[in-house]
Amino acid sequence: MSLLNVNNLSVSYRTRVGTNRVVHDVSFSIEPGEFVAVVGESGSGKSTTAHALIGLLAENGRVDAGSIRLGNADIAGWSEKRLRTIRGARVGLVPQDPTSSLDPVKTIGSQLGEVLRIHKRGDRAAVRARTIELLARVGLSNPELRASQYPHELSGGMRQRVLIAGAIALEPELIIADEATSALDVTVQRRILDLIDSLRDEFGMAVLLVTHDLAVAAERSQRLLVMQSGRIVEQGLTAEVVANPQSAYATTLLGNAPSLGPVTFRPAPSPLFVRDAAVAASESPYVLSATSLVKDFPGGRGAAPFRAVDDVSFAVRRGTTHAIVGESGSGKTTTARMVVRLERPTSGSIAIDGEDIASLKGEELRQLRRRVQLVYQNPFASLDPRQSIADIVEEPLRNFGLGSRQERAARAAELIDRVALPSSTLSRTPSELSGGQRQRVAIARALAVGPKTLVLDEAVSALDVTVQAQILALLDTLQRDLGLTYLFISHDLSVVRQVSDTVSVMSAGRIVETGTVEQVFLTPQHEYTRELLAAVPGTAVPLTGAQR
Amino acid sequence: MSAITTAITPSAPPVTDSGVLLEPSPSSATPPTDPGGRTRRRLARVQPGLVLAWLVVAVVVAWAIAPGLFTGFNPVSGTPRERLLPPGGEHWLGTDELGRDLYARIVYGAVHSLLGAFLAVTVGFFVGNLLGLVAGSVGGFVDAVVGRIVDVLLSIPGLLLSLSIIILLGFGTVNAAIAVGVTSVAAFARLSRSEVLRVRRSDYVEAAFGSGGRFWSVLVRHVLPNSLGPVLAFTALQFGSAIIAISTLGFLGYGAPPPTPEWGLLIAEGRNYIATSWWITTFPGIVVIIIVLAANRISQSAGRRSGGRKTS
Repeated sequence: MSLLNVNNLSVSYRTRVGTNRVVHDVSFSIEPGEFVAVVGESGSGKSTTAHALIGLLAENGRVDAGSIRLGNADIAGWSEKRLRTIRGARVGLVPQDPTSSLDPVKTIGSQLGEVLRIHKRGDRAAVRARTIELLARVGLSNPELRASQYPHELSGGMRQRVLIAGAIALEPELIIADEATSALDVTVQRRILDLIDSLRDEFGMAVLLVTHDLAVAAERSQRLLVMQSGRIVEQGLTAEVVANPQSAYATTLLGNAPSLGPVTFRPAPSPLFVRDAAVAASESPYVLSATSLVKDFPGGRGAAPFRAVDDVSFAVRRGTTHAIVGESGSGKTTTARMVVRLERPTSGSIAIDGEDIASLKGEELRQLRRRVQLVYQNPFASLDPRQSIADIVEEPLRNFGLGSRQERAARAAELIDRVALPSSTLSRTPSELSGGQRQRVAIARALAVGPKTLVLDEAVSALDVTVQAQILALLDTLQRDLGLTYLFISHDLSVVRQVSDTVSVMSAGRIVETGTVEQVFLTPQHEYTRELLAAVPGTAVPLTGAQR
Repeated sequence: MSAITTAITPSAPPVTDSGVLLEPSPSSATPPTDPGGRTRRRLARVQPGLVLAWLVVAVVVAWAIAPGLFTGFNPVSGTPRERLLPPGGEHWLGTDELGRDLYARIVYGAVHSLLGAFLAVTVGFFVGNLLGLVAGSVGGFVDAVVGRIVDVLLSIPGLLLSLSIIILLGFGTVNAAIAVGVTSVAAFARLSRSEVLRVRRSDYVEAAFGSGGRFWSVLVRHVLPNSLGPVLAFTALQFGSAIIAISTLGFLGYGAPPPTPEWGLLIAEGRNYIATSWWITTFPGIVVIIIVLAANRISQSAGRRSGGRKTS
């Protein structure tokens, strides 16, 4: 008999203008000990479905129809009070954000102990002993110390382990993990997923993993549910769905997931235009180069300064893409910001077209903006909410006094067309556009004054996978058409493999390895690179899906 | 002021579970549904309280512009025979000790209170906002100096400060208004500075500098408009307090000289007769209360609206 049986579940949210149904007729089941993954893009209803299972919908959410059978009981209509008896005890939840899911003013031990106290599992000493045992079980070193620490003293990965400890505290039959690893670095993500896997083996729990990351789902799950616009469009054994998707949507999704495609690299860039050989030889092939870059940030209250970037050097050939990959805190973003001179390097030099820009200031620095531009990670924050799209795209032209009013308007229309947006977009405001459309606008703005170099700081990281694929294709077209040079900052190795020619791997402020993408990905030299590559989800997909 | 700041705290942006909206294909011209959008906000809310508040303000403004349309009585010269009449059919709100129609005096007094409040808020808004903008965007030494000036202003009780300024400038409606305005400069500067600091850190301001924007043009084009919402809401609130402050000064005899029908002065003049003729103090008092409440209600809705727009 199935552990969990969901039948024709429909969920809607009430808003000021009426009810908005976000989950339509969803049916699926989970067997004891099974690992099931729900994948879908933002807004597909996957999180809502997961939360509905244990009655944790937002206040305006409501289950309209359908049944949720846990064992023999239909819990869909249960009161809050009855639901509390199963939450934690029979179904555990690992929430999405390890930072905001822990109370900052309570110690780890007391938060974890709370689960046990609420369900009255033993006296004070027993609770404490069990807490420490759980912390040890999820792989935290020095559990006694951890129990007495506060959430801010732990890293993101450690906090996620604490949340997992909370979810397994009462040895539930089912664990729901809602994007539980999405906010983590890839190596940490792998360790957390390994932990969930081993706990599943040990306690025989079933796992429902909700994720936008198809690669993670494909690598870890036995069965896969693909959701789109509140409906399950495909479900089946993971290996079968990945190998042979039936629905059009699953096919698109799989095709767009960078890490699931065949391992291909970019073809070597063709020369942009044929030139006099003598001219070509006299000119340096490198548009952008950094030499021994160092950036120190002042430490607080007499502490030693913090060295975010330590002796970083790289060079980028004209018309190619150089990627800098690393995990959070590796200094990759600081490096990017120094290249566009939003940060001033502590020492070292940056050359663009052979001219050192490391110490430019005032008007010279302003003129530099015509040659190199930055595209930000979050298109929701990088566009002024009060401006129209036309104003946003024209602004750099106005700043440099380029063209008359009509010429600027014409240029804005041309740019909007270049980034494949309809011209009606020009009169809109950012709030009326989706994330992908906003990022296109941000790219159009960056291109307005005709820079030859773009620095893309995690420019596709905040986007859904299909939108991400579209933006990457756009960047590729622009590079070919306009002869652009990209410095591509990313934490996502599978994207980097797809789009870049050369790559530098950063760790703790230093570049540990540099080379062509093929060299670095196929024959990594440095230990850290190997670890990073091994952690990329989906690398082992075609083999493991069925056996798990 | 703390009530205001909570009211304007931006709500979470309307995005779906992992932070991004699905992108419709570029060919479809329809925008995605827009949960924080303005059109929907406008359609969804017709609040009777807010409508009433605007109505009150409209009536008082009409009194100020064309008082002759609302009453046939002369506000300054009365009929001695008709002194201290209670509210009734001919004199709606009664008469005062000189036989002047109280309703007429209130109607004609609107222009003094309104202009005074307007002037006071204008002084506070412009001076305070300029200080806040400069302090927040230049930072460093300038910020420290402005911060200390604001601290000093805030440390002196408002009434005492305005009384001192009036004594320096001389008595009169305009001077009373300026004095009230100066006392609100500090609050405006604080609020404006904090908003400027918030906007100054945003990606789009950095992007504006990054696309070659000069300091002042970025300030005017991005920082000022985006920091103004909560300040405007605060302006409406200050308008109400300015009316009270000016009436207080009038009551104490530091504002308009008699026989000007200024509201604070009306209340003060009625004091001597409060035991026998309650209406002379009561009705001007009620009018002041109603207009201040209306201003607060408008401020509240302006605050909410600017909070919504910032994040949309």
